[in-house]
Amino acid sequence: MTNLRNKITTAIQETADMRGTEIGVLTDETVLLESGLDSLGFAILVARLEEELGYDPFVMMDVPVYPRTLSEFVEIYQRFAPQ
Amino acid sequence: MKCLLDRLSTCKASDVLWVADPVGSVDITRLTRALACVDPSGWHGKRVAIGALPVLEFVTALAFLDGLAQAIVLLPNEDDQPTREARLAQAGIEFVVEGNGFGFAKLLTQFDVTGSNGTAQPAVTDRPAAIQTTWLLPTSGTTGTPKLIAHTFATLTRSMTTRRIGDDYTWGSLYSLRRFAGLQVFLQSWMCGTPLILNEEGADLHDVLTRFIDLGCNALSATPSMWRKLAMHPLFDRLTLKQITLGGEIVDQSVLDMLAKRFPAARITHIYASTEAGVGFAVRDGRAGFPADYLLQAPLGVAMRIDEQNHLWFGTKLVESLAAGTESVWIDSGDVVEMQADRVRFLGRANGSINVGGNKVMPEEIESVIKELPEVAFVQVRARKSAMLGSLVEAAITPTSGTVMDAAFKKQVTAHCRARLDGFKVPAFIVAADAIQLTASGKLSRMNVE
Repeated sequence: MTNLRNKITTAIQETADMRGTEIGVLTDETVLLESGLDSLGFAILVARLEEELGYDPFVMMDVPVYPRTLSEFVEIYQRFAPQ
Repeated sequence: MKCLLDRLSTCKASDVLWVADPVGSVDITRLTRALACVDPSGWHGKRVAIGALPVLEFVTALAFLDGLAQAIVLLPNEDDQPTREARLAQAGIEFVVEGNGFGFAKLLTQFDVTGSNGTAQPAVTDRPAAIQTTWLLPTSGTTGTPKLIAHTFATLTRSMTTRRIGDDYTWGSLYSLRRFAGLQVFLQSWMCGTPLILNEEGADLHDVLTRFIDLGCNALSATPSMWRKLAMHPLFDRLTLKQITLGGEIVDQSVLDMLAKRFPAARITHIYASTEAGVGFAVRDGRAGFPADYLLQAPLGVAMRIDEQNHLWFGTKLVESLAAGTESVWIDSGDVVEMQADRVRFLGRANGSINVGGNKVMPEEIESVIKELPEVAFVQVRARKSAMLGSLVEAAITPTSGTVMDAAFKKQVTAHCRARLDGFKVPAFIVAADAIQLTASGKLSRMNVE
């Protein structure tokens, strides 16, 4: 869990760097779309994580889930992680 | 002049047409002797396809059949069976010439060049009066469904100089003579009486460049992608070029600057031509794009206009030679352009755009920005599928030697793009390129664009 969360926060940081946006301190309660990532940044983040983790939970889910906070986002990745 | 062979009567018998393995130099005497050995009567008025042939056999077959056959189809070597059959049916072909063809290559080895007396005007005897042969050329496929486009000797050579520049130049052929770009090089060297160094299709680039250097090649035509590939080759600096021609893809400022720096004495021409429209214009001022007043004056007799979607259109008189009317038809080039002050600049292919969350992105535009960095030898921008936005932009880069594709370099590329481009155009992914893939006509392969 910590490992996965670290990977995700690093990817968020890198995506923000790439997009030239500032990201504040990330906590479990950080609202993703208020963190400095727009929809393009979010799509890039998911694509980066797919490359690193080997899966994209947002194409695997039957019922679409829209994570609001960082902890919800991490939870989705955990739920769909290959067993 | 109605056909290829008509040109020979204006040349000296000892003029060299081609340099090819294994025969060496082929002059006019040698060619006419070889041609005289094959009975033309069986081919008169026939519809003939030219399949896979050694390059020397291929060019000799063209000289033989033009003015004799009713139609010639140049079959691309890379066609699969169904495509080939479709082309043969579409063109109503009676004969396919392939394998060893007419046996001209063998005949040419028998008529050694030392047999030429260099003065007598050889004649190709016993040929029926020349008819107007229709040349059916395959499109490169960059414009979608491959098709056959009808040309004649006249439409193919319309814009070419027939000024004899003979011994001053030796042209080299870099890619398939079956495609419009390669065929242009073949015809241009034929029309102005300069030798052409022939290479087999798919020959190794190292061998080709070695031949060019050894044989004194000083004029080359290639796509910008091919020029970049050549520039990365260790033998490139040993070429001594007087004429550099670019075409077939968007010509950007960085490739023009690179060539001008490497070959300060060379004349650099970039040509806009397509299989459909023929040659549209040529530019020699060293700047990318073309002068806006070309839209008013049609420099080579080919009118141009820009529609409301910024597509460039060409008015062509193609149909005049094919039968009925003489009115010009307008052809959408599929290229998207932009007016910048007194210049028209190319942004990319209309059907090659990448859709990033509803925003259209031209890969060529991003490529031209990334190419501004001196550490970048080669770049291809392509779509990467995204479940969220449809596509994201990915740039595959080959750095110049001495540059490492590390995180710092990728950051530098990103920062450069961010300073010059809208956010949605900045590549989300920067990766190291695999081998550079060029098509049979020397264009950057865009197969992986969705």
